[in-house]
Amino acid sequence: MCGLCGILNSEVHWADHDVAVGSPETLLGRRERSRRVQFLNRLLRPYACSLSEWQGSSFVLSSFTGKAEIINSLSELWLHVEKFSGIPVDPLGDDIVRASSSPS
Amino acid sequence: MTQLKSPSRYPVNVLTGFLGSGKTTLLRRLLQSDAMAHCAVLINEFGSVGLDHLLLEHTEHEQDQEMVLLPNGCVCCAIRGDFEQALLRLLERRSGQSALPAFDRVLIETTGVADPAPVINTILMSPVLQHHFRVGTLVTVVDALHGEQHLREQDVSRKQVAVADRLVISKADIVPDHQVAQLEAQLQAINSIAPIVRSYDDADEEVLKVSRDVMLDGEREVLSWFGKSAGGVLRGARLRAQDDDVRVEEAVGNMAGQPFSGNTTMRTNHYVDIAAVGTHERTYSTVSLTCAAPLDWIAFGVWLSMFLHRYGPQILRVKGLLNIEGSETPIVVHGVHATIYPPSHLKAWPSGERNTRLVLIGDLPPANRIVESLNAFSVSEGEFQIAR
Repeated sequence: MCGLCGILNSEVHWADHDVAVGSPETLLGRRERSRRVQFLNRLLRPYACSLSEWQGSSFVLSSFTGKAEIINSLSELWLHVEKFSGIPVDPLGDDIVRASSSPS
Repeated sequence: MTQLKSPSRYPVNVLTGFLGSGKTTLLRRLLQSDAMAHCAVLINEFGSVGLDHLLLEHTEHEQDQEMVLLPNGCVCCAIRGDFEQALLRLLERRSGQSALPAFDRVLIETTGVADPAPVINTILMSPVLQHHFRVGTLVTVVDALHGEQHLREQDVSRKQVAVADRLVISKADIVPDHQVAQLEAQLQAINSIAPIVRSYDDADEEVLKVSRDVMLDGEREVLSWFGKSAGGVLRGARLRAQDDDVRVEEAVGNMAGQPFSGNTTMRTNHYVDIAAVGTHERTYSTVSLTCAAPLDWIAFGVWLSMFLHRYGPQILRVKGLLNIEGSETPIVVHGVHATIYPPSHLKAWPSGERNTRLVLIGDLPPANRIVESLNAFSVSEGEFQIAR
């Protein structure tokens, strides 16, 4: 648990490992996390949400209507995107395919 | 006898198969091997009076093996808590001063009606178990005599085949060869990367390599998934157990025509565009994708997590050998349902070909939609293609 904010440590999500580095224990660094935020923000447009880094350990998901939630992993992210937007997340859906292929 | 290893997490092998398929007979044979000499065995029976464990007495390594019976319900639903408790009790007794022989792996024989996925998820999701145990190789036994009928009529039988790392066709000695070949074709239609072994009442550890998995011998295990497959080519690889080594023989051919050579061979094939099996509920099939250019790990992680969020309940297995930008060595990702194990590095590319291979098994959305989505996400500068 973090002594300052009281947030419990959770299991490391498989996508948080930095596999480009030789050791499987290494986690994504700040630069890669920020690149992921940028990548995700392009995808989140159709869901009227945006994501930002938080303390180098988590993310904050915000809806365009002002809701906000701390997110610890990609699995949590999709659950909250659906909750905020009311739209099921589907990577094969036309909207998301269009959003992901559009320039950032 | 082999030296007892002390793995940081004990592998749990799952032996499953429909009612009467011959799981206990195979288990008895597996337990004769040195690799299974220090194995704790959990046997799950549907009835309140268990019988299967009685059939396992008097194996060669009997004094080193522990048998635990989980009666009165199916481990995948009614007694999942009992399964978790049984594993924890094994741990406690191993660390205490009890007479329990020190084990280095656990093998669970499920009931014939068990869906193996919840068993696997119990290990992966339990906050305690996941630190002491990991999922090992999963073996599914299919009865040559009634297998086709079970696949046609029983959703759980199709699921058992779809999640398997090894498929064993039992009773191949009492069924005509052409009937066994038909069954093989059906099994491959569901799960085209699990090696299939015909058992003429003789399949054993030497052939099945149940004790081998990605964590212990990633190179050979991944080779058994993908063989010498290359994008756009329909081919397979035959793995022959020989002096504890695995030799890969090119075995290009199509599913229906390939005769099976003998009872000590394992074979993998990669097929798409073949009739998937399933009539009543879900239809299970395999989609194999390849990509020649390196992948962006960030984009791939986002895509796969999103895909599994949406389609996880329908996806039974994911197996991938990935060429990731920035990594000289291949990365292995694999998982069950929406759960992906932590990625691991292999020391070298198993077949020398440096390209990504991703296999999805389950009740899948159309393959072309998956490819379109992967390409739209810019997971790679190259294009994903369906392996044919």
